[in-house]
Amino acid sequence: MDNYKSFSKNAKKILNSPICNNKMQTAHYTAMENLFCPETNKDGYISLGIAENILSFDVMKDKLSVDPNFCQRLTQYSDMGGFKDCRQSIANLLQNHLFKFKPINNPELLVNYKQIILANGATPLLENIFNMFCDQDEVALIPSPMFPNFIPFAGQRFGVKIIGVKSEVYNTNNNNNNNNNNNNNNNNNNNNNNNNNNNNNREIIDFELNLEEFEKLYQLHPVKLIVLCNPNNPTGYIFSKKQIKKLIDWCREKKVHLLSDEIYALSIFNRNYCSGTREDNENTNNDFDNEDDNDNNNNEKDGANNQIPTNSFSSIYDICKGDMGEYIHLVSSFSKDFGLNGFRAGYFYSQNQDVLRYLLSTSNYYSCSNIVQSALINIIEDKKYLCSFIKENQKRLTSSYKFATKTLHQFNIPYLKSSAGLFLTIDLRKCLNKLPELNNNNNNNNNNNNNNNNNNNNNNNINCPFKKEIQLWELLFDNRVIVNPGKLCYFDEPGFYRLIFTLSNEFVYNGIERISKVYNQLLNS
Amino acid sequence: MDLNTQFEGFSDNAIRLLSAPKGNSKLAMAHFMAMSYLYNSKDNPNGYISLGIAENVLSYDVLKEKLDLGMAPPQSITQYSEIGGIPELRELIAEQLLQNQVFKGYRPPNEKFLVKKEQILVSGGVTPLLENVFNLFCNEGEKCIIPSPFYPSFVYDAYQRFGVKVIAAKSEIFNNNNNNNSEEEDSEIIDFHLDLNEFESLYNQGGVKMVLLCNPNNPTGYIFKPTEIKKLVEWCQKKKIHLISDEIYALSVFNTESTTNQFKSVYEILEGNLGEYVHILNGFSKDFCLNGYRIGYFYSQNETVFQYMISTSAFYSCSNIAQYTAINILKDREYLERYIKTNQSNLKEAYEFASNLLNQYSIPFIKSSSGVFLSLDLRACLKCIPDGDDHENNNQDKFSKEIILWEKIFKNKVFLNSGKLCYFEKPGFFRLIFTLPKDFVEQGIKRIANVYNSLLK
Repeated sequence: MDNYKSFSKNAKKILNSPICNNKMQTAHYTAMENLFCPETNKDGYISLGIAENILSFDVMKDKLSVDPNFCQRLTQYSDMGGFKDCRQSIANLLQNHLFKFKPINNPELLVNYKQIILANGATPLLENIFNMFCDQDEVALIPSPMFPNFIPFAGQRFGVKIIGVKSEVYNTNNNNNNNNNNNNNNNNNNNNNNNNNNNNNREIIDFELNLEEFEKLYQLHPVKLIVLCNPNNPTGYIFSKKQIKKLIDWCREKKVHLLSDEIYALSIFNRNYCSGTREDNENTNNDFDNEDDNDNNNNEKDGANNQIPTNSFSSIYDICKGDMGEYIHLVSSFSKDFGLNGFRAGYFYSQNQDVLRYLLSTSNYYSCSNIVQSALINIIEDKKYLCSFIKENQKRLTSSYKFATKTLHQFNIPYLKSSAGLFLTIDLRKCLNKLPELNNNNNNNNNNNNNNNNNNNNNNNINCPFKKEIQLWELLFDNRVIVNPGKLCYFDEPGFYRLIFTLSNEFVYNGIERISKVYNQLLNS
Repeated sequence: MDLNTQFEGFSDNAIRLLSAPKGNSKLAMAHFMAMSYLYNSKDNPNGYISLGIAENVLSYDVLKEKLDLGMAPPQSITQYSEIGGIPELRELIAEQLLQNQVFKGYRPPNEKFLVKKEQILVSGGVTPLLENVFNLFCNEGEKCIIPSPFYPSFVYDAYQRFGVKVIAAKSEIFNNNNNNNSEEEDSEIIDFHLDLNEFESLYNQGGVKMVLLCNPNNPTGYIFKPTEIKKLVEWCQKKKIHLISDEIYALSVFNTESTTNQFKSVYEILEGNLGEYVHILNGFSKDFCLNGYRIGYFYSQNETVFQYMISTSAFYSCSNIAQYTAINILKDREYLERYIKTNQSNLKEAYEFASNLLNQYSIPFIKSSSGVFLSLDLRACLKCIPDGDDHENNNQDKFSKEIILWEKIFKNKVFLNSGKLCYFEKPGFFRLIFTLPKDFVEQGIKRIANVYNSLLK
């Protein structure tokens, strides 16, 4: 067999690269074939690993079953970049629901349908954007922890490298802060802390966009693009407007493009959110220079690190006061905010004509199905329905978040406060050291998946600390629950896992219970 | 804005693309103009008629009943479906569509060569699949041989983002049997062939990593001879280069004369044993008139090739709604066969309608056996275009008069695809789509005839 001697370099690279989350993938498939069901399959797997929001389907359903605009035209070729109607609808969605700023004095900054490009999901759009700004081996900087798939999107076919810019802010000195005291967790905690040589006890108290870090990396590497995922995956953190503004200024000064991935912009569930819907906007144009809203009244219970602030969300369009200019761009999709990931509908917005022209001229490689476009119009053109959907969805997200955190508290599992998205981060660091020592057979999959890992972590030791994280992950999987390990997200420290809570209460409860079994068993051992 | 700052921060790839001379921008603008002012027999009799877009709208009424997914779509339609496609769809494509229809029920003597669903990959259209296949076998600057005339977009799909070059292997056979004699512009094309000498000489120029065969062919509707295809496969296997068989018009065959070739998929020709080097591309755009839905699929028996295609499939996933629609169409076997038959008969009728009209107006064309098009041969009136009209300053460009003719036709409100883009060997050929309502086709041909015949006078 020739195997792939005759393949291109690109292809060989892909085929040779160890599929770093091979274990994850196999686990995922195993789980999918043996899913938990409260009545019929209590022993089935519970996956809290896929970032999907199924909470609001019943509210969406009616809009999906009948498409009043269905017609023959849909079976034929559409316009490049999407039907004008659909692009216009998305422009309206942005201007009226995601953006608050109204450029009264500069109507040319209003969102125009020609500045919107549709795609079959954000995935191929992101890939093409990496390709647009970066040659092979050039670099995009992304604050970490980050959405893991940015790495293959950039690297698989176009060889663009991602470097994570650490954003964790620690409370390094204090082992006895209020959070730990309030945490009714094991009393063994303090003993464990004393045995640790690592900083396992430092708490993440915030996330930040550290411009010094950005500058340092910019000096060291051929950086051509910054990607900011805000609200952030996997943490659900909303970055500070002030810091974003500084980042924007920095990018413009360096002439480096900034892509704002706002795929969770409408999935904000903190009580202090800005939904972007007209009804909720009082001071539409005034409050961008103010402090980030900090919700000190948030009565989240223990288990959460209450020091992580709850910032209010503003789209990058707002932060730029509508004038995004050449270097600032936005990408989003209908997958998360609308729970329509199966439809494959992503979009891009920019005020840079050349960027638009490039994406348009390569848009036939990711055209959005017409039938999807029509379904989307049906959903977002009905203003009343749209507002009520967004509100209802956010209400359910909030309620699911509250249920999940209540459950985590009940089982004494620490987590990081989340403000948005479909997930939160659980902190299982404390039990890592309680894991039994293993011999080295399990290293294969972890050894060289760090080809792309240009993180600031000490690469020599990268296997050691994260090895335990994987080991714990496997234990959890053996206990029939799946959560995503922080290593994939470039968390600075091992022991963090992303947990999706946008599932039925039953799933979430059972899943957390299973996590607890492993976690607390280890802690008590 | 000067070039230096205009593409500030763009990659070389992107700059190359944006700076490329806009070869067919005229075409693009014309297309848009036509689309915004379309012919309508009642409301806009002076509107443009586009016979340029390869779409088949003839069988929509038969298709319609399967496009409605019913009143209560399951929630799973909104969620992530399996990588590679919904299993039910992969199974249906393997068995109902490929094995039973495209391969005409052919079952290879060895059972292990039956089409398996694990060998099928569903994608969001054939275009991104194609692009990725070019990238799979060819590095930037490497080449793919394609028999010409061919579908123009092959060139862009290969080149735009991955820099792969397409080179044409001339396949026209002129009736004086002397392709080198360019004086004989009017000798008729009597056949097409896969000339292995041509392939060999192109291969010897270096850098060739794959061959792409579109069969049935666009823009001619020609069906290549199975014996020649077999020889081509053997040649590829000897050279250890891959062959992609793009069979997107496999079910749009309407052989009207017994002298035309019968379509056989490369699968049938190889008795089911595709081996390492042969792969099949197809989709729902043409045979099922669902180009707007974006549904394509890939079939290969080479596990490594398949592994590559599926591990990069996140970049061309197929929408669930489209997949469910495809399932709906394929799972009703009786309906499927009825649809295919009806569509083929509609195609035949439309072809005959168009060809009769063309004969009436004495416009020569290449007989087509399949697809949604035929190729007009308007070479006779090229000579009637005075040399001075060549404003484009392209006296070396033998297609300059073809462009002028194209413009004249467009001025007369008909949009056609010019042969130059299809890499016809000689200028003067134009692709005409006939799968449109009769009044469109009739009007369109009438207007073409006006131009053609008035030039001849």
